[in-house]
Amino acid sequence: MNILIIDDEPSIIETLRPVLASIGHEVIAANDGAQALRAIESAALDLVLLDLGLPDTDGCDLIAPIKMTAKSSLIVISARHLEKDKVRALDLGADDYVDKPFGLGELLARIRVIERRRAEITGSQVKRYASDELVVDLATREVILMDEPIHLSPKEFALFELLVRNSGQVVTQRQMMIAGWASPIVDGQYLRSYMAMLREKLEADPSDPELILTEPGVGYRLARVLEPEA
Amino acid sequence: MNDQIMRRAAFDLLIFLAAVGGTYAAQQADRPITGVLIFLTGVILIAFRSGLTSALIAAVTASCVYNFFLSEPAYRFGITTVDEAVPLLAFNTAAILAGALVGRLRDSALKAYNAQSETAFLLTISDRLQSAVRLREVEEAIRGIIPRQGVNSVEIFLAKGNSYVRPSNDEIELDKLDPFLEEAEPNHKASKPVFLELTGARGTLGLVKFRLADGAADRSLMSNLKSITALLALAIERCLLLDEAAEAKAATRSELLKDALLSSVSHDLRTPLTVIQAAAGALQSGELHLGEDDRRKFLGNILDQCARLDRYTSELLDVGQIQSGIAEDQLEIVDFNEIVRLAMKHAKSVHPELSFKRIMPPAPTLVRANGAMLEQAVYNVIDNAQKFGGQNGPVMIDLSCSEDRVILSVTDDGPGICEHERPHVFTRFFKGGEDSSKSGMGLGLFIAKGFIEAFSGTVAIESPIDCGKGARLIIELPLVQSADLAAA
Repeated sequence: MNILIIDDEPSIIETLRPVLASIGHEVIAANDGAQALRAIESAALDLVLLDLGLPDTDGCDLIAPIKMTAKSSLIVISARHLEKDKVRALDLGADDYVDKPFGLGELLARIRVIERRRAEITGSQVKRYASDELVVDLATREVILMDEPIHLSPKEFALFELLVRNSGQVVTQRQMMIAGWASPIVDGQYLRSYMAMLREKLEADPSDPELILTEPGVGYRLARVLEPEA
Repeated sequence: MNDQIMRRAAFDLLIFLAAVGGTYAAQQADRPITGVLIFLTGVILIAFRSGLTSALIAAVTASCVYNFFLSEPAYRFGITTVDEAVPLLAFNTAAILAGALVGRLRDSALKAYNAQSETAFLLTISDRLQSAVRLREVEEAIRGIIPRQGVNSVEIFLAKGNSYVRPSNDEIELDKLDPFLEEAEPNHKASKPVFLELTGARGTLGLVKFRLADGAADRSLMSNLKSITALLALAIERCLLLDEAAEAKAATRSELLKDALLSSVSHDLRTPLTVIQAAAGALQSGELHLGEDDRRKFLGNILDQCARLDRYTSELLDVGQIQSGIAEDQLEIVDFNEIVRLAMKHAKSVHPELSFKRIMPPAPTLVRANGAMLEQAVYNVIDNAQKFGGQNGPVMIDLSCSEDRVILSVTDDGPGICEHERPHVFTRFFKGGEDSSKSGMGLGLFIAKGFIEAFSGTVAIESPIDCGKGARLIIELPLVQSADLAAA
């Protein structure tokens, strides 16, 4: 993939560049918002790693141009672990976020998810998602967990479908509310109780979820990465 | 007051006597009708001047005098002819009618005058209260125009939980009943106080206590007091709202500042950690195929970032030291020349490409300071010059002495500091320029200033120096005089 790293810290770029290059990515770097905008205009990009704390602009202001102009995927990398920043970036269109400092393995895994998702978008219409233990058929609305069919109510399926479509990535509460209730201003309690019901049906131990993870203050993440099938 | 009444009565008497004289003269000239008319005119005049009571007295007296002295038969009371009865009737009727009319006229004129002065009074109060923007000013504003209009004094008691507060002195009246207790002095002969409730849009604000002038407690005064109370309540409520708005604004500002500080510190500490963690992760990972060059670079990055973290840690500790204060026993007498040379050497070891041009006196310049902290301060100033100008040419170090002070100036020929940034260069976490990778945490000059000021010195900045370029930092410290040395 063509990856643009937007970070004002040269040492971070110096470290990430050889790492990403060694696994076959092309890396472009920008130190501030102005350089980033030039890079977005000129290069074909697949993924942008965006640091929110830039010297000349608020990183969030770059999200719209990145999504509109470059049509690339976007992972926000931020040293400010503030939920409101993450939620804002995700709601503006970021695909995922990673906190600084991050484990390299975690960052590479998030990049792989993005890579797979981009292949899927460019490929044909997806009808099924599957992993070793979980199969979700979007057309027949069937969910099969460990060869056991699981019955989900229409609303539960709508919420779960959003998580499945973004498997491995974080989905904000706002996005979940829009998927389930077509409105971003639903009482959070509704969402929490539906998520509890989903966990009741899908988790081995609903009190210690391993499949549907909560990202505190941000939203939910499906821990398994499902392969799309046509 | 009495004097006025006496004068008025004397004048009325004069009119009456003149009327009697005129009538007598007319009678003597055998013109009885003219006589009666003159007398009647006198009575009406008195009624017009002095109202109903005086008019009636004048009329009755006039009747008697006319009947006794002037009408035939003279010197005898009695009504024998119609000529005698008609004047009596005329005098009294005219007096009553004229008196009543005049009385009514005067009453309404007085009322209008009073109403006007009340309105003017309320307007003055309202104007005064307009200018009060703080609670304590409300009572002061109204004190300037009282006593007036039967009000001797005004005291405001604001409800605060279970007690009352006097806003004029912030005195807390512990008891709810306190405002109602009278001063216990026996010779305190104040009139009875009147209490009214201050009511605002959000309910009761408190009480207002009026002391009235003696005998001034009529109904119109009460409605006046109510109006004053309403005006006071409005003013107090406005002050409360202003206070709340100011508080909310201050809270937002301090919240923003805290936010900015936290974000700055988290960014500065997490950035080196990020590099270390990512580089170490890359070195450890089995999936990545890194060349020998990359591996060496990663190890170098890790060491660099460790040094950076160490520097930030000591900077934060220095700030802590400045905030907790530097004790007298940490100070000693040091040679500033030597300290500056040490700082230059230190800077050279960190930035090998750095070059200096220096002018320094050969003799020691003694100052009272903590050697390590002073070296840190000078190093920070040189480091700053290197960061923002050192690449373009040598950093100028100029050390000179005046009579009682030693002056170090450190000059770079970089782009300089623009005017809007200049006031902030000594501010904590201020980072100059657009390129944040150059700067550290933004603590260097803050620490330098903090240390130098702890040694009774000053730090100042001049920029641009010439041709719109360059910056000069000037450290001044008091020289230790030889007399002090002998004492020490």
